Amino acid sequence: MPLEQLNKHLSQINWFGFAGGILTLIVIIASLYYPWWQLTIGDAVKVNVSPMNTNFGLFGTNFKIPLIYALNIGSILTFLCSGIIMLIYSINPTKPYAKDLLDFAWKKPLYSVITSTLCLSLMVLLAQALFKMNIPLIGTATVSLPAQFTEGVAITVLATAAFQWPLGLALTAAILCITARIYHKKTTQQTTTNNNK
Amino acid sequence: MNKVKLFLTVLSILIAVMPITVQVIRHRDNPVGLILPPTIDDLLNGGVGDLSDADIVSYAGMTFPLPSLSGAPMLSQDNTVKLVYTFTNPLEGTITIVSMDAEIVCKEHNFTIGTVFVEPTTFEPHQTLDLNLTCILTPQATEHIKTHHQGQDILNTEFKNFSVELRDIKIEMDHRKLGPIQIPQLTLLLQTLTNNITQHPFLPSISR
Repeated sequence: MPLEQLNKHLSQINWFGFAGGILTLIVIIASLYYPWWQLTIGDAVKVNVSPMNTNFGLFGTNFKIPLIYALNIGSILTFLCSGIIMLIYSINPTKPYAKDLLDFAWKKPLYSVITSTLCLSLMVLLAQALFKMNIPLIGTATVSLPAQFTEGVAITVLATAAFQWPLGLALTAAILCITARIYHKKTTQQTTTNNNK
Repeated sequence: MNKVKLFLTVLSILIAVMPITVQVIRHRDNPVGLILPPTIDDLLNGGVGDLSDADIVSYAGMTFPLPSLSGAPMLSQDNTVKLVYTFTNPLEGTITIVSMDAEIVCKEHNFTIGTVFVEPTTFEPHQTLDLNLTCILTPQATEHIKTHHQGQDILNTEFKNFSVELRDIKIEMDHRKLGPIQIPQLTLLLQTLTNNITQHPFLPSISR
């Protein structure tokens, strides 16, 4: 019966993986327009950081660093592949190749969230250690620019930094992908038990 | 290794390597540009230099026309000179001047003749507005001008201990960073003040 087949197929779908895959694709679109972390200094400076789109704004003019731009493109492609492959896996979780697809897809959002947060923290720490610039990771701080960048002109700025909602979205996608991995283990164990019976 | 796993491994490598390779090839003539685009290079290599005799300042890929004096200075009897400068915001972002103050110094004799400050002004992108500068002269200024600059039409001045506060940004510099600022008719104005003439025929108006 086609309806029974459909029900059977629907019951086999890894819904956590499906939701994770969809959310991973949504994260790409959201991150292109909204940063994961933003640093603002009055009207003058705006730093938008996300693995998909990192840019620097100076008095309304935006610019990118080519190397970071390349890494951003890499991240977009990684998330895109991860999302699509997670969707293919979650619709066919019992196929022989399913485990390979899942192994490829589930880690990417998690690694991206961890790497981004670590890189940001490292950058903030490096700015403090190398240039004595007290750039905040979250909140507001008064930052004095190093004299070597300003030819002795004293420039003090009030910097405000905050994590933005797309980071939460990416974290949710990562959690769903991890859950899909755990759920896959359970379902495969169940299938093996049923087959043995 | 099965075909799916091999395909996914190759895909991972390609995704990681391809974008960086493309950028490296694009910047093969200038590898530093890969990390430091011209805008950041300008920022790191310091400020705008000496502004002496400059009409336009280029910095970090942006061009700033310096404010130009518009109209004649206005003098009041409380030793205050008001100057109006016209400034066009060339940027895509808003510039908010919260405060600006400096000592105004006679360049020739390094003698402080007063302090200068600006009224808070907000320049929307590409907007042209007047920037109102108020110069409060020291009691010694008129005496200095009478003694050393009698008959001169232009007094070469410099800003010292210049401090400007934009929204959330404070910039402070000594006089070396700014070139001489010529204030035409200031000598004439001060002489007028000294002679207790309330309105000089050359002045369009006098604020009291």
